[in-house]
This record gives sequence, structure tokens and C-alpha cells, in this order.
Amino acid sequence: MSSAAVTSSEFLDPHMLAKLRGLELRAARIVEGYVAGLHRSPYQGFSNEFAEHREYTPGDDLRYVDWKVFGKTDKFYLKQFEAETNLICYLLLDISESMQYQGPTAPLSKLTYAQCVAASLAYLILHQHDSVSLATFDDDVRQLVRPSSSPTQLKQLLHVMEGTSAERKTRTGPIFHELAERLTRRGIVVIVSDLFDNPEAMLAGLKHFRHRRHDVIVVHLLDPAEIDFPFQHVTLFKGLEALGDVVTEPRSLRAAYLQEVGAFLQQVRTGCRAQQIDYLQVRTDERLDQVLTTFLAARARRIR
Amino acid sequence: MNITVDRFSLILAFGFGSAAMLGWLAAAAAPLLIHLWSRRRYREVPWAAVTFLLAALRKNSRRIQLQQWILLAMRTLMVVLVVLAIAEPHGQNLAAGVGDVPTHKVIVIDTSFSMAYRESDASLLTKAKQLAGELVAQSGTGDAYTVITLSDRPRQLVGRDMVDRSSIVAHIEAIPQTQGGANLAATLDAVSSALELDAKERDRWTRQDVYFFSDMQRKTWAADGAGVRLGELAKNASISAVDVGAPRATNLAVTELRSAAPFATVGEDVAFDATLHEFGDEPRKEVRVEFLVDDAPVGEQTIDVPANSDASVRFTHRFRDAGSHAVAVRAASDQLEIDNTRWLVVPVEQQIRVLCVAGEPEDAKYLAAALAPDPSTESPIRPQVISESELVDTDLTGYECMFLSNVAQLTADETERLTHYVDAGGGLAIFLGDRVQAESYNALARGEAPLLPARLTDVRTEVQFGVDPLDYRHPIAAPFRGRERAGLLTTPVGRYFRLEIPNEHSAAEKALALPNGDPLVVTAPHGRGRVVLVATAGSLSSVDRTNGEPWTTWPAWPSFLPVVREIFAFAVGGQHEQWQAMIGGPLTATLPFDRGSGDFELTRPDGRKTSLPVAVSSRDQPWHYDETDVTGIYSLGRGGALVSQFAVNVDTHESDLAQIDPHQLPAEIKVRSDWRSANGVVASGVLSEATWNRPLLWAAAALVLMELCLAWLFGRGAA
Repeated sequence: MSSAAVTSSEFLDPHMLAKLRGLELRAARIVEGYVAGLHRSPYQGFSNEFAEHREYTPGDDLRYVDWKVFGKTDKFYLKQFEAETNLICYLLLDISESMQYQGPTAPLSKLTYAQCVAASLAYLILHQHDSVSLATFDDDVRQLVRPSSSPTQLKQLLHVMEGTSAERKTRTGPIFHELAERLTRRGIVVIVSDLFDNPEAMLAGLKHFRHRRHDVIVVHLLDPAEIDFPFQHVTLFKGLEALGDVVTEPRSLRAAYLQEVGAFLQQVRTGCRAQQIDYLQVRTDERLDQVLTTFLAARARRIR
Repeated sequence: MNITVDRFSLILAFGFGSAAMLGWLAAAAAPLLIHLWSRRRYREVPWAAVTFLLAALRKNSRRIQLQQWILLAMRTLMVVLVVLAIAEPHGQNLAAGVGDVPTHKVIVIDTSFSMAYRESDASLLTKAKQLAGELVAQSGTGDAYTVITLSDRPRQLVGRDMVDRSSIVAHIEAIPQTQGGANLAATLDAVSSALELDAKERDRWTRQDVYFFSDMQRKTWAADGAGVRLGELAKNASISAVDVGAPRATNLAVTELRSAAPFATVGEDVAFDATLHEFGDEPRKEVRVEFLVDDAPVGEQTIDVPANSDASVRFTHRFRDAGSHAVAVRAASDQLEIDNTRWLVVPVEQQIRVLCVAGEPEDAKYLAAALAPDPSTESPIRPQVISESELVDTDLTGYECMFLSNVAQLTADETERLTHYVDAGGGLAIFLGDRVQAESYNALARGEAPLLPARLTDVRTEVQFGVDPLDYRHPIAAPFRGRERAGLLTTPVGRYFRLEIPNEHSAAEKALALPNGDPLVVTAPHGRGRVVLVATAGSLSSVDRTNGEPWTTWPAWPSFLPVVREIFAFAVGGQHEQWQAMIGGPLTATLPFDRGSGDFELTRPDGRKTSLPVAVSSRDQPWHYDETDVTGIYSLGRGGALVSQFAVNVDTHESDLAQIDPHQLPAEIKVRSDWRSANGVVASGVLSEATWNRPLLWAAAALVLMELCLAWLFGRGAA
């Protein structure tokens, strides 16, 4: 099926997204599909200093139409204001081995989904002329791309992301502390991870970001199988990240497992809320617009 | 007997219609094997959230294990129940029948004396009655009952017309212990006739069940033809046998008591031999055996009785008074006491009177001398010689034995008196001679019950030296065994009647023969007495008229005296038997004609008295009494004076408590021998047929449902 045969918003569905190859294409389709569904254009500044005119596109705020130019030329032009370029978005992408997991019903692995989320955010941010930075981590910081708003930044980020391989264990707590020290300029920190680590250490790391006055958005990615535990027959669960193997009859263990997972999610959610961190739990079979909406809300909050 | 029934104790035993199917019980291991196999066959998945899985596992492993065991047990039980159902289990219980089709139940209760065997406090009969009572008490209201005893004389105590169950139970409770045996054939006849219903009754009772409550003695149940008869009964009714017997029961019995001498006289030592038998695989040590005369203990010995064997004990007693004496041997008590005592009635005489009838005055001389060799001393035998013409006027009742020697012929009256005399137990020995008219004698050898054991044919003159003792088999010859020099083997016989034993006279026996094979002494029982016929003369006065030689010089030969005395002993040997009887057998006697002394009275061992009216007749009256249902001494008296006594003993065939192997019975007869103990009352057997495969299948189906529910519930616990 060609991408032309479907409307762009359908690419928000990970099942459709899975049919596309290339992170850039996926990011473009996600953002376009998302933007097409919005009533307001996200591509606008919020500064008071006039910068230039640009042609009206449907969805633009009519408040910024330059009626004088319309009177002279009979064409709609919008007044564009010089954007404040102090917005920096740090994308922290978990590339530990557990992110490789792809359940039987999931269209994408957690890592691929996370890459799509990060890429589409980068695409959106760069189109708003904001700066974006990317860090990949597992038990250490693997790659750190400095923040930039240049149009070539997207290429670089996509290149980094596509070159990742998930092989190692997670160590979120120390990594977050380290990054909080290294990311000195205030900005929006978007963490895309399954957070399968010690929750206390991880929350302590998040707190460090907040201490540095970053806005933090935690995108907690979980595979549907990890939430529903749909297994029926005796299964050998081969632990990723060298956690050992478990043979069990999953039906009898399902309730207890779900209880454990529920307790973990609750702890993370409560911890984030306590630190005024935007927490977003996302299943890898969910549409991606939720993530973008949450991000834009955070951005709008920051600019105001 | 208070019948309280624990409903669960009523299920007494069960069996399987297709026992081979029980092999499939091995399939019960299948759920376990499948469980183990599935544990080894798993799929592999990579998993990220192992931490949570491990935590869940750590907290719930016990619960999961328990749930798995519960489900596994239910699945195993399911298989077991299905296999059991396929194996067609059938059990019987007392409560069965409630709500069943109206049934005619024939209850047969063994009352033979072996049922008096006591285990703990209760006898087997008590247990049998209790179980039978429970059967009646627990049966359906539409059922009818017939109660029959299994005994020598089977009796029907309850008929189908009796509807009140409590009175039926009361009848069962009142069944007495008999001291007789068990006549299975007669009982089966009674059962068979009880099962014959008319058309109306067949509509009313669509089913008939027969229940035997018995100790299942081999001697009773392995009787000839019993299996066939039971098989025939099984065509019309469902037959169950409730084995109330004690497995491996042992029993000691006094099987025989007899006098070693043929007669007893006052002042003479009389030896009594008792035989004890241990019916069991263990020898019985130091058994105390008492000897009683007229109820007074006069001797005691202690003996060991080997397992499954006899042991003999001899007591000697000297009687001081003439008359009828009751002798008993009593062994120490065991669990079955009835057969531990054996009685014998011994008529003790001052002297034994023998009547010798001589054809010629000299003909009885040697006989009398042989019987009482020294007339000067007080001999226990007192022979009296009369001529043949005096016979007709002589009262024979006082004589234990009669010898006829060379009596020419016997008149019809004499023949009748002799026959009556022998019938009543008298001994008759006949020596022939030259005066004997064979035709007159041969009249006695004819008819249905001939007095003479052989016919006289021709007289043979053939001097023969020697007598063939015929392997000393006969009691008359037996004492000569090992005493070849006693003269028997060289006895000379020159002339004799050739005796011919009729083919139809099966009881006649040759005691001695001549070397050419012709019989010399022939004996036969007749009535309660015995007859001995000697082919040659008993004196030297019978002579061959052709040469003047005597028929035989035997009376002068050393063997004559012992042979005559053995003939006498043999002939009177039947005397004691008229005073002995087996239980259930008749007592018979000839009551003397004596109009003046009032009625006779019989005192039974249990103290009951029976009056016997004297028939109005001018002759001695034969008398008999049938109600001998208790062992012991029966005394016949008149006007306070003892006339005679009778000893009634048990038939020790019944003493062998060995049980029949149920496989020897027809397959339709279900013999159950499971024992349960409920409230101290030992119960056994299976009383009513009930098949259990349907309830088992229902139970299996219920388990399937339960298993599904539980599996869902356990799974749901996960949700």
C-alpha cells in the first residue's frame, strides 16, 4: 500500500507506521498527520517583534493576518514575529536491551516506537525554529547531540537514532543525574523509556532535572503484552538485560504479575506527579498524537 | 436385639462385573504425566519485565502449587471414577431396596450347630439374625418376606402374608440355635417352593431375592448337586450369600465314644475309647478330657491333639450296678461347645444271658462251654441251653444273644419271633448240622429283608484242613491277625452246607472261608441286630451217615472257643446301638406290655418331659420318638422308675468349620465375606445388589464441572 492512498493522519497509527521505512519519512508523516488534524497551526511564533510576512495557510490564526497588505495586494499575508529562540528540547532516548521487546500483538518494538516519537518531536521542534538536542543512553550516555535549531540538525538526529543498537542494561538513576549536570541550559527534557529500572533511583534522577528547572516530560513506553500479560501456555520467559529465565504457567501468575506492574506504574506516576513532571504512559499500539499534544502543551506553558 | 443401623455401615462389600477393566486405573497417572510433560514442553519468549514476573512468582509460588495439585487430584479422580464405572462395580447394601421395585425377599438363616461358634461375645447365628433383621428393617415398604431356616429340618417361619416388619424381625430374632446339621437340599426345596408365585403375586412382586445368612461351611455347601440346584434357583431370583463365618476358625470335637467291649457287666472293667479331632491347622496342646458316668466325673486325662488329626483317649470304669448307665466324655471348652461332649448309653448287666437252642441235647454243649468255660466261677456270660421245641414258649427279651445249633427247621411263628428279636437288636448265631432242613432255612433267606445272610444249597463232603481268614478283614477274624498258631488256619472241616450269598443281599459279608473258597462264616446286620451263619456244625454230634465221621472236629479244636466268643461279641455288638442316636434321628424301643404301671414318660436333656401313652394291646409295643433336637441323655421312665436311656449326639460332620471357596459355587451366587465392625457388632456381607456405575459417572461428570469452575476461578484470580 502506498502512503498516498491513505490520509496522512492515519500514520499516527503505529500499525500503519510500521509499514513505512525510514525514520525521517515516519517522522514527517506523523507530524503532518498530526498537524492536519489541528485547528491551529503549530508553526507560529509568540514573540512581539515583527520579523517578516508569510503567506496564509489554512488553520493560521486570523489575528495575525496583515489586513493592510490584504488591502493593498488582495492577498492574505501573516505577520510573523521574531521567535524567542531560547526554547531547547532535550530528547533522552532509552536504548537499553529491554527496549527491544516487541510483544506478539505490538506493531513496533518499544525502541522503534520511541525513535518515532523522538524523530517526530524533533521534526516538529525544528520546524518551529526551536533547538533540539538528543541523548541516547542505556547504562551510560551513548550519544549526545548538542542542541541546535539548524535545519541540518534533523538529519543528524535521525542518523544517530538509526545507528543505535539496544544491547545493554538500563541504569536510569545515575544517567539522569549525569545528564542533569551536563544539560545546563533550561529546556524541555523529554524522556522516552520503558523505565525498567529501580524506580526510586530513577525518580531521584528526574528530580535532579527538576532541580535544574527543566520542564520534564516522561513518555513511559510499554508493550501491550507487558500490560495485559496475554500468555496462556507454559512459557520460558528469557529475561532481557541478563535478568535470568523463568519457566511458569502464565495463567496462574497473571494476577500477581499485573499487580506487580500496576504497583510499579503507580509508583512512577505518583513520583512524577509529585515533582510536577508530565507523565505519559504510552502503549506501543497507541496512536502517537497523544505524545505530540502533551509536548505542545508543555511548550506553550513554557513560552507563556 | 436392638437394630440400629448406621447407614454408612450398611454398605458392606462390592465387586466388579468387569474386573479386567480395572487395569485401566493405570490411566489415572495420565493427568500427572501430562502435567510433567507439559512442564517440559514450553515455548520461549524474550521478556523485558522479568523483575515483576520474578516478584509475582516469589509471592505466589505456594498458592500456584496448591492450585495445581488440587486440579491434578481432580483430574486423576475423574479418570479413576470413569474407569471404576466402566468396571461395572456392584455392591450390596442393607439400605438398598428403599424405593426399589417391590421385592419378594427369601431370607434363609443357617441354624446348624456350627453357627453356635462364638466370636467375641456373639455367636454367628446372633450376627446372622442381626443382619437379617437389619435387612428387613431397612427394606422398602412394598417388599414381602419369607424366612426359612437352613437346618436338618428346614422350617418356614414367616410367609409372604406377614406384612408387619417389626413382627417379622421379632420372628427372626426368635429363631433358636439348633444342634443339628444343615440339610441344604431340603432347604433349597423349601426355598424353591417359596419362590413359586401365582400370577397375581408375580404382578405384585416383580423381583425375587434370596439371601442366605450362613457360615458357608464346605461340608454343607459343597454337597452333591448343591451347585446345580443353586444355579437353577438363580434363574428365578437373585441369590446372595452373606458369609457370617469366621475365617480360619478352628474347632475341637469329640467325634466318637464307644465301648471297647461288646457288653458290660457288673464288676468287670469296661474300657471306653474316645476320639478327639482337631479341625484346624494348629495342634491343640494339653486338652483336658473329662470322663463322666451318670453325670459324675470319674476320670480326667490331658492329651495333645495334632492339627487336623485324631487323638484317642481310653477310660476304664467298673460299674457297680446293673442297668442303663450314661457315659460321657467332655473336652475342655472352645468357641464351639456343642460338639465337645459325647454321650454313650451302656446297658450294664449282672450277667449276659445267652440262649442256646440245641437240635439235639448234645448240639449246644460245646457252644455253652465255649461261652462259659468254667461253670463253677461266676462268668459274665450265662448260657442257657434249651431244646428246639422249647423255643416257641421262651421269652426272648432277656437274652442278649441266641445260638441255634443244628435246629432242624423253624416254624413261621418261630421265624417271626426271631426276626422281631434281631430287629430289636438281638444277636443271632446259627450253626448248621445234619438235622438241618435246607428248605426251611432258605425260606428265611428270601424276601425283601431276609433274616439269613445266605442260602443253603447242597451239603458238601470234602475234608479240608484250614480256614481262609480273608485277610482278617472281618471283626470276627481280626483278633487272629498275627496269631497264626491259634489254630484257626488249621481248623478241620469235613462236611458243610455250601452257602450262597444272594447278589441282592449287599450287606452280607464273608467272615471266614474254606480253602476252596466256599464261605464258612457269613454275617449280616438285620434291623438293629446282627445275624451270623456258620456253614458247618457247632458240635461233634452231627455225623456223616455214609461213613459215621462227624461233620467237623472243630469243637475240639483250639480255634473253636475264640471263634465262638468272637461270633458272640460280633452278634451282640449291635445291642448298644439301639440306645444311641444322632440328633434328629428317632429313638426306638419295644415297650413291654404291662397294663398296670401307667404311662411312660420321656425326660429330655433340656428337662422337658413328654408323656407317652401305652397303647391298648396285648403285645409289646414298638415305640419311637422323633423330636431329638437336643444332644444328651433322654431317659424313659415309668412310674418314677428308669426303663432305659438314650444317648443323642451331634453329627460331627458339622464340626469342620472350613469354609467353601466361593469359586466352587455357581457364578450367580454372590458370596461376600467382608467384615466391618460397627458399634461392636460385627457385620458382614452384602445384602442387596446395587450397581454403582451410574453414580460414579455422575460423580465424574460433577468433577469435570468442578474442575472447569476451579480452573476458571484460579485463572480468574489472575484477572
